[in-house]
Amino acid sequence: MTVRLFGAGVVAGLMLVGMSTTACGGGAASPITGRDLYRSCESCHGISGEGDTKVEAPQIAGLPAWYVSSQLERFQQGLRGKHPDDVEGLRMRAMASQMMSKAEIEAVASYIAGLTPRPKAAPALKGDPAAGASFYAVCGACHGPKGEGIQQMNAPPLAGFEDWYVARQLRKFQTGVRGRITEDPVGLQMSGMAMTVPPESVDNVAAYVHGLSK
Amino acid sequence: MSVQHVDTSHAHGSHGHHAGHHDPGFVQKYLWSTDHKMIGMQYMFTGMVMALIGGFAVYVFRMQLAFPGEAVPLFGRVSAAQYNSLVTMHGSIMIFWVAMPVLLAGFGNFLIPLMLGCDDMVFPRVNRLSYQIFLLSAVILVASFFVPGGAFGGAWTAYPPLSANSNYSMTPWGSTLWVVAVALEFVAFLLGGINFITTAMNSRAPGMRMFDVPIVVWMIALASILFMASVGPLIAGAVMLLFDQNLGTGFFDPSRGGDPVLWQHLFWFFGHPEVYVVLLPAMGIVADVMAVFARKKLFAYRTIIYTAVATGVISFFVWAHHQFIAGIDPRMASLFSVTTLIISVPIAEMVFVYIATLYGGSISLTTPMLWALAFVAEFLIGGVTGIFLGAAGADIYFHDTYFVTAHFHYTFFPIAFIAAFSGITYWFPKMFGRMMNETLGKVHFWGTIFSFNVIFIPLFLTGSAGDHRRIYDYSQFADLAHLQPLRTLATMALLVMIAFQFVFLWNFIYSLFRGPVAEANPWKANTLEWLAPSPPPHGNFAEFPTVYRGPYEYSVPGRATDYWPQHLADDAEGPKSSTSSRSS
Amino acid sequence: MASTENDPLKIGRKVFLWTVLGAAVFVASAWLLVSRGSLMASWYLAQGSTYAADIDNLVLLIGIIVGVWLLAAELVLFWLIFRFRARKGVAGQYIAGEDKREKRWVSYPHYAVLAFDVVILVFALRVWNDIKVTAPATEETVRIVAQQWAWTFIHEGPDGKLDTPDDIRTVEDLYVQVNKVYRFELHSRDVLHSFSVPVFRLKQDAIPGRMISGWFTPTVTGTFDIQCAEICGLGHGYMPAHLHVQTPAERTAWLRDREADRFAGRAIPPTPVALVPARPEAVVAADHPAGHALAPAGVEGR
Repeated sequence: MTVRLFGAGVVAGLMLVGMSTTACGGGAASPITGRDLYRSCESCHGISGEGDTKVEAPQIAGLPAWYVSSQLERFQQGLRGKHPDDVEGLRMRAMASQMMSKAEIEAVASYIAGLTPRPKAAPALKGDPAAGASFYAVCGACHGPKGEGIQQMNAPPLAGFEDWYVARQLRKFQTGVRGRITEDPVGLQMSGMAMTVPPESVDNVAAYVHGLSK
Repeated sequence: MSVQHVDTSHAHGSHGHHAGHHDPGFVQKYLWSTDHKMIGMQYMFTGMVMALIGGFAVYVFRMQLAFPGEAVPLFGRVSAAQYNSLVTMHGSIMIFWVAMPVLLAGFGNFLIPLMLGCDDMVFPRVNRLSYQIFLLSAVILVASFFVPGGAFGGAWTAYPPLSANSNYSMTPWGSTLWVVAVALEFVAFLLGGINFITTAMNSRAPGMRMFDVPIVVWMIALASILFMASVGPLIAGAVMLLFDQNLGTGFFDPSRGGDPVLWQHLFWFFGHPEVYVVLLPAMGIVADVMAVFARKKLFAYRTIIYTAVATGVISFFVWAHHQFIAGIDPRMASLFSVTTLIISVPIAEMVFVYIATLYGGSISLTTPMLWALAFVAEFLIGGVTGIFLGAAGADIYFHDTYFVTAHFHYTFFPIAFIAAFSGITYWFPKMFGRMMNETLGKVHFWGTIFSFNVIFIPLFLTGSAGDHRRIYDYSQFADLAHLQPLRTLATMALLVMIAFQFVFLWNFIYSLFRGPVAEANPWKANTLEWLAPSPPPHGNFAEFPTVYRGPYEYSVPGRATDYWPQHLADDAEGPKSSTSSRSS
Repeated sequence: MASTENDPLKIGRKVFLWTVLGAAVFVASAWLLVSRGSLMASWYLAQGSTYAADIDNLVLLIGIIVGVWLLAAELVLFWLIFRFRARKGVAGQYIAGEDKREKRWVSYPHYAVLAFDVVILVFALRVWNDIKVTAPATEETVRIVAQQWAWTFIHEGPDGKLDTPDDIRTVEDLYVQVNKVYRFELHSRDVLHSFSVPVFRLKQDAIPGRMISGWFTPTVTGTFDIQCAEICGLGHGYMPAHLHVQTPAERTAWLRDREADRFAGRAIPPTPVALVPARPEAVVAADHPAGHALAPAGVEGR
């Protein structure tokens, strides 16, 4: 009888002590990695960052960490995505909020940068890459002739993106859904750049970008 | 004591059940049994394992609430998607895979034939099938944690369009597996219910009239009828949801002419009677335990049955109180508010009857009795807080706040845990032939009850202050920031409660193997299961008993003992202990 | 045979006293907790609308009625446990409870419960009717759009009409004027959401494919939370919005600034709700992604 009482008491006591100490000191004991944080993204962007067209999530695997960080911050600050017609951007604002500090943003961004991108699927839109090539010259000034991106120009690599995503972003810049916030000089600049592509040629430019490989 | 042939199809002759059975092997005895006692224990043990899983889920998400963004010990950092899945699984598991199997199928299977004085259920193989389907449903549900996209995260209520369209829920596999698991669980309980009702009506011992049947059997039979009558619409809804999820139909898709609110009606038309499906067996257990340990006849036995039936009937007319602000016609909401407050009347009467049973009793505060009394004390709080929600005007504010969560935990926790612990500690000697330890039982009791209140009273407060439900991180809401200490307090109390459950597990497992050997009737109770040996052999009784009186003849004036078992003939003096050997 | 040490019936009688003491401790601790807070929303939040006080008073009425009943029932329960504890030589009584005189003790209270239910219903349904069934004459209308995972709002603009070029569209911020009767038109673009404003005590689910209307009159100026109160997916907890209740002067200034934005081309062009359909199923269509109002205002949608 005393054995049983003692045994139960020890078990319960250990549980209590164990749980409360880990509860209080848990953060320090097991640091949260970029991989842990990426679980907040994988429902839409996929376990390997490959994206999911059904939910309009682009492939993000291999995007440079500086770009992922800056976009997450911009979503959080309302510089990107805060437009009533930006359906995907509004979703991203909520999702980006899961990162609770700059350190977390940087950790998840470097994890994403380390993911290996998958080869692109066939183009989804019916654009003509040859027709789009001529317009790309303007884009290449910032995004690089092969779409490799130039960090100093705040221009991300386009070579990783698929045509549907590029077309959609171009249209958002053209119609003011993206890039019209006065506090956002980068967006304003991109808005102006997007105007150099006539609306009927957007799919062609997107098709051309789709053909760029990393 | 006269012996008679029992007029059921499975009677094997005048000397009970033993003749002609060979020794079963391990598989036959434990895995492929048709014996109601084994099936009852299979349900009970499965329910207890699922309780550990559902309890782990709430541990993780409450830790996230108390320490947002920090890695939870034994789990890690919780993402918003995982949070929603844990909340969903916690609710689904506790209602469908803990409360139902333990209260309805666990106790129902174990007790009904024993309390009725017969050797098994009327359809033993259907009974075995029901457990196997139930086990399959549990496996499918647990498997949904491990599929791509994770477990379903749209709450146990699974409202479409979120649940119908994986582009909204992000859980393509999890959503479908959840629906399949729930549907299979329903099938299992439909099959089980066939046995509970048929056996209760057809297999009573000679001399046992319907009003001589113990309350717990009545309650389980009524609950089974309630379940069968109410689950049809939801099964239809589940099929529609499965089709929407996988076959491209649009039953709940407004862009295809469907209506999301249709699901809500189908769900709650079942969902509300469902809470009484689990409440009635719990109240049955509590009534039987109270009668034994107060040494008193149940007050107004027939009233209990009539109010239980009334509650069951009215429960079909209250469902839309879950939908007051869901977009239904507000005039219809007024009607449902009326019926919802009306249903508080028979339930209140039942509780008053239980309290009245204590009057004039001789109350021993054993562990089962402590749990039974705590059921009444805690369920009262759950019941009165329901009034705030049933009053439509007040529900405008309280809907989808933590006030609702606290209310239903003050009803569900007594149902699924307090009453279950009462029943387990009471019938443990009969089930396993050993006694549990009283002191450990009391330590477990007080630790659980105290921490239970310290979890949920703060949640009434946070709900009143505006905390809405199913929120991963409250830091987005400036008006709610000041409530963080209360949320943390609730989580800390949960940790304490979890710790005390290990006292129970230790007591349970240790007593299973090393508890003092129990006699047939350690509690000196009247009902027929205490006539059989502890534990009863296959076939239950050496000789089928005949019944001479009701189950609650305690403290009858002029008798030498304060109990009078149902099977003793009128002129017998004291109790006869049943010492038949454990032959099988 | 159970040993005396573990004989539950013997132990039951022996430890009775301190278990009752334990009950008293639990009651006291519960009271202590509750005394640090309240079930009254007004303890935590301003009564920010004309019907907030009605709801709070209803809650108070219910609280008093059920609180008295709860206390009475618990006290009777604990008193009976104490009064009829097992004592040596004192037998239990044989009471069947089927007799009318005995049944009175239960049936009278249950009629009383019914009576109090009726009282509560009268008040509750009146409050419900005033808020959800009827509405006062509207002075201004605001359109509220819920989607995964954000609230957007369309305000009338200086011309006092929705669906005109001077409408003011915002994300996450709702601007209303104090003491004005507002009618709201609630939409959802995808799944169920719920427009919840605790300071108003208001809540209304949003259903895709439907427009649901309601009303409120703000009475307190300031900034307050708007919540989504129906689980709507991963971002359910990440769609807060902010209610700004303005004085008339603030309102005038705000309208003037928004007009200035509009003429400077900084405003978000209005898009009537009809041109903003629910989220499409598939991202990629043959030509253009279907269903996004990417065309500027005035251009044929799609």
